[in-house]
Amino acid sequence: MNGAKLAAETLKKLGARVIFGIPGLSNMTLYDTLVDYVRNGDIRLVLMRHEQGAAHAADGYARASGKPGICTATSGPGALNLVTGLATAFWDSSPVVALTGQVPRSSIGKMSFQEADIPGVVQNIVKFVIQIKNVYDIPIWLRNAFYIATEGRPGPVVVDIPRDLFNEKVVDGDIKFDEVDIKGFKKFPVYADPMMIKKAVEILVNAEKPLILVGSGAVASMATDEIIILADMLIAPIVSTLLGKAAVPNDYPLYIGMMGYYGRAEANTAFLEADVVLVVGARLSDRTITSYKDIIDSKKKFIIINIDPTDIERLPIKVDVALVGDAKEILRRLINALMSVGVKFERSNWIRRIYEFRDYYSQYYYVDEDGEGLKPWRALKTIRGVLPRDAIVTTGVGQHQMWCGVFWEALEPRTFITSGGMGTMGFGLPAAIGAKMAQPNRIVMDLDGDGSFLMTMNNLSTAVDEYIPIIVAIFDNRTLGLVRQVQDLFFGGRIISVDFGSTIDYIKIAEGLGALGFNAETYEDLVVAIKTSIKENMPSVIRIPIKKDELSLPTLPPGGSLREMIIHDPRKGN
Amino acid sequence: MTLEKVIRVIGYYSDASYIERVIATFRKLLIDVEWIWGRRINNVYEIYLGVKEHPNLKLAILNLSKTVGVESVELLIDAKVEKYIYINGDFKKIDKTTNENINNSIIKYFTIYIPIYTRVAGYRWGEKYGEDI
Repeated sequence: MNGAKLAAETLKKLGARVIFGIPGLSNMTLYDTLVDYVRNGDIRLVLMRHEQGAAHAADGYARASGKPGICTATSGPGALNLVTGLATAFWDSSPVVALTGQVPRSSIGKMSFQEADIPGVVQNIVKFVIQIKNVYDIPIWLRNAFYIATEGRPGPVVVDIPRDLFNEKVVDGDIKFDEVDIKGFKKFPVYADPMMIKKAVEILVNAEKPLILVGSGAVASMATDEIIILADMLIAPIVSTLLGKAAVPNDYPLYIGMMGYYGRAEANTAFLEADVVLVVGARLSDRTITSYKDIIDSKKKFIIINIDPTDIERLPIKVDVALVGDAKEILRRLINALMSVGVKFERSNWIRRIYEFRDYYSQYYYVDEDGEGLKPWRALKTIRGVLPRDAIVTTGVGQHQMWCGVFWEALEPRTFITSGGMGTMGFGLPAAIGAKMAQPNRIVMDLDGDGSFLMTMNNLSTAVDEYIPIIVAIFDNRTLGLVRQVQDLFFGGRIISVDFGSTIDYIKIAEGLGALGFNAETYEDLVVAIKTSIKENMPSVIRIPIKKDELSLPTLPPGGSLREMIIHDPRKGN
Repeated sequence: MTLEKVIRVIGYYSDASYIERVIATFRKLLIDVEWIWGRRINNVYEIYLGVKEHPNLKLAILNLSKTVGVESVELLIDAKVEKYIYINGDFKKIDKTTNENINNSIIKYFTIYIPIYTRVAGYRWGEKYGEDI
């Protein structure tokens, strides 16, 4: 047995089923060893067209399944191309494990061919990186990588393996894992004793306008049932972060929508008016709470549930009760405590007010004037009407992503996958490939923008060659719309360096790469295109024309507070 | 006046990137490191850092306390640093009057800096001990 075989056996033992990547000189022995595993059906290798796509695909796999997504790249440029995808996974707490080939130990540090100091490059954008120095350490560090990636707050881990280790002979190849004991890595404690739970319950019982804010931690914890039970008991509306959208079914009557920078106006208003906010698995980033002044100036009380106590400790706001632990488990304790109190809540005024907000702001959202292109909200409603409840959508980054945040209805957990923290354009298509590999029996659709699609569209060829039938819908406004919007509204209309030409043909691109291509000029076309794509079970691209100066609303002025929401097109006057 | 804070980081050495991770935690939050002193004993690494008071300091300590490889991070309260040099087979404490002379010929001597403190405010993977920061 050699080091590559040791690595392959370990991966199999750890449950790895799919590896996204590209072979090269420094991971070639590993690929050679995996030939037998592929032939036996133990592991599938998916050849991506760029390593950034491999990292995003592993990320999409992880977010759709809750299991680690695995990617691999050769040394130097291959591993460097993973960087954006790894940072994306770190910012959104996604458990990705990257195996990077490295030049031989004798060549490290000598500007060798295809050498890059990957530990040095990635150590500040991943949860952990280790460079293996001894072939016998491969199993234990692969196991540790899977453990570190998934334990506590998930995140990406990189294992950098010099290629001479892959070739090195191993005398005793038995893979024996000791109990996990990683020096300097600990599980976060659980802080939710009965007194803290009692205090939280008292605050919730005495609240007049309680609100539940759910984030990605609620999705990771699969706490949907508990959130709904608690909302029903408290009669408390729910708002979400962008990444928390799929924590509760968006058609649940008490779900108000995504809040934040591009959030729904009624969700932001509900947050501003609430007297108690129960935060479940959200770190309250600058996209959700755009100005802490909004909180500090209020007398709002906060009960915060987070698996990472330091995420609570760092907040510059007064936290009334900090409950540390897995969201699902903590919510169950809260529910049990509330049941023992047995209070029936009468909050019809609060709920009525929320619904009045929703009705009022609807007049600004659902405008369907005649004109160029389709309206984003109606296109998304049309798509939702065709796809089954358990369909998974991914997105790129830009206006289309914000339209999805506001208008897309995520109906089951882990069905809305987007790059939130890093805002990585090009995420959607490769993430869809990963999600489809994780959930092959579900329909997976990438709701993309033309700018984002153009950044990683080469991976469509992977979907075709590997028979991964994803559907890509391109909201095609021939511009980098979100940047254009900021230039238009806040830089005096000085539009620069954002508009694309009119010549690109997405249908021909799709067909040229072997996928189906559709041009949806009407909503009826869109329905036909989706149904045909599903029926043909082939990778497909559907172009949806959108007016170039269509806005993503509501929005805020740069650096603005939630109180400064812009809810209708300011270019049209009042 | 900008006050100096003294931080002690205890962790486990896998390779020298451990030291980079510690320093980078402060760099990423725009905190200047005035001095650093550390040593490895077997696989345990002990690092002391002098940093300027900074609004991001608490965040840096929190982030470092959940960095893989780090066992604990402590802010040494009321810390002052006493300077010793190794002369003639013994360590000698340096006071203010002799400090300048020593500084002028510092390369001749092995110098160590001993933090003297009264209390600690510590973090260890989400556990808080000692005083509040």
